[in-house]
Amino acid sequence: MPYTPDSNVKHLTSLEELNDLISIRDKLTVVDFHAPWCGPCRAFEPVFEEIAEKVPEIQFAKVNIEVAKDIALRYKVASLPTFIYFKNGKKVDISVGVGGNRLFHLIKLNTGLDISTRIVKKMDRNQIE
Amino acid sequence: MGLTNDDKFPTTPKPKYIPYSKANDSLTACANPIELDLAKEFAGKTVVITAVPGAFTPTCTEQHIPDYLKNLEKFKAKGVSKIVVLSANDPFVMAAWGKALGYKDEENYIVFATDPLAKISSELGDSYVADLSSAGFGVRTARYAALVVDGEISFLENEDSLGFTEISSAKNLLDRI
Repeated sequence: MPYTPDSNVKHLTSLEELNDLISIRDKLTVVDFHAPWCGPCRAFEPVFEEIAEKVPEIQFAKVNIEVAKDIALRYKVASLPTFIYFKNGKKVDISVGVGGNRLFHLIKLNTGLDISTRIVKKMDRNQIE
Repeated sequence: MGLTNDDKFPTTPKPKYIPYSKANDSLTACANPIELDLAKEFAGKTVVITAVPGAFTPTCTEQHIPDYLKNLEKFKAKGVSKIVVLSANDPFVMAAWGKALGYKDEENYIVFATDPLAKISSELGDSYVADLSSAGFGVRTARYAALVVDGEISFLENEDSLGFTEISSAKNLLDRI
């Protein structure tokens, strides 16, 4: 699996890699499904990176649907970004789009953690056009 | 030659579509076309398939599909599990057309999907495709309507010269269920 030294986000390229990651017990895994051509995904990228850096209690991963086609097919991702939340090998939640701090809300719901106070970065709105 | 009652309605190539969702309607998400698994949609269910020569073209937009949209509850009442509108357009055009026609329900009871290069329609028979190359449109689907029960054709008929008549009307299909 590709490893970027300065990032805590794992870039998944196959269903096998995803299954290995989410099988780790009792840890929440948040997977960001994105594509290079999707403006909102690019705008959100720095925020997701910061969250991954500052929330070590949770595993964060990204799936580029153009690269990992088997994962995209399996989860029928029809909007980007789509965030799928996994616990103990099972999908427990899903959110679509970057609006409204839904990510913070669903992390709190699934772990009890309020991470909003740890995060400084905001979306780069220029990327959305 | 062509398919007729009791033949299996083709399930490949898989049409592509973008299911309606509120997130896709705003700037917070991008739409990503996904495949419509016709075999799965058909199994044990009654599905309406209707094809149009072109999204946003006058007859299709002004008469054909609005007729279906007005009758969604009637189709549901008769046990139709899904209505699939096909056209040889790309999935982004089809999704935009569905919204333009006023369908904005995350239920996605009616879906606006592609028949890539009219391949599915060509499997039904020559009269189910229309070569509109002379008009600059390329190969399109003809206008037709079908009732598919548990994967088998129970009704299939096309319109002569692409017009919209009672053949592909909602009422005709509803009467045959």
